[in-house]
Amino acid sequence: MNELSCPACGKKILFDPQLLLKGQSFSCSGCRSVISLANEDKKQVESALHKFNQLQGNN
Amino acid sequence: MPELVSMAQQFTGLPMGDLIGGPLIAAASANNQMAATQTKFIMDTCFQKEGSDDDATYKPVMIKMLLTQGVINPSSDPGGDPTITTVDTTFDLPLMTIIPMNSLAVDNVDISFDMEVKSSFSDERSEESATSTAAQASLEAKVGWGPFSATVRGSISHDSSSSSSYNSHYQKSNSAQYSVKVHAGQLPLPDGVGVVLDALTKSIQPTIMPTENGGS
Ligand SMILES: [Zn+2]
Repeated sequence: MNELSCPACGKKILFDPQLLLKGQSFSCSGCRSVISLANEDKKQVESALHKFNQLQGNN
Repeated sequence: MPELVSMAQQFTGLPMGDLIGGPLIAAASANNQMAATQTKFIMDTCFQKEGSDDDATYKPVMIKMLLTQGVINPSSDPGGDPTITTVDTTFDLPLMTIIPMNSLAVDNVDISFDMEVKSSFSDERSEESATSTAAQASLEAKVGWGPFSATVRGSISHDSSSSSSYNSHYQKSNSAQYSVKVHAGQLPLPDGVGVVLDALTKSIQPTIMPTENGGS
């Protein structure tokens, strides 16, 4: 699980990058705000995750 | 008779430095390579290079995220229930924070060295000796007077046999086994990467603009 600080309240939001890419949203335990990946950047994230997984597989 | 091999002698002269140091050096080199490829990935994918090589700056690649927040709207009717609506806003997030960054490295090297020295000597000897003697004698004698006659018949036979066999068998075998187990696992992120990630994550915090009267 990755984490980022909630832009609204600053609490940690845990998220799974693969699930985020699939369209799942993750909520903040502090303020109940929900984050998700904008459609316009899905391709970029998909490509980066793919490259990263390849890198892990090669090692 | 050949002596059994000395075990101590078998183990002296083994290149222990190479046997143990070799896999360790290989593991360190593998770690180095993995770190280098990860760094290259981060710099190539998560950052955008600007400027020439001598004076290059790297800007983090940002991705758009949606933030959905619930907003409580007070009722326009006095005494009416407030309503909750959701508001979508976007914010930019460094791509690097999305990558499940870790430190993949060789975290365990098992070197087990089994050397088995087998030395065996076997000597088989067998000797067989058989002697058989058969003697047969028959004698017939006839002696007479008058017309002289004498008959002598005789037979003697002797049989003797002897055999011997000798077997000598010498066997010696050596076997050595060398196994190296290398395990690559996850290590905690290096502090430096953690600091960069933290700084990037904090960069998405909304900045509160100062108010007109100078407060914040
Ligand atoms: Zn929050």
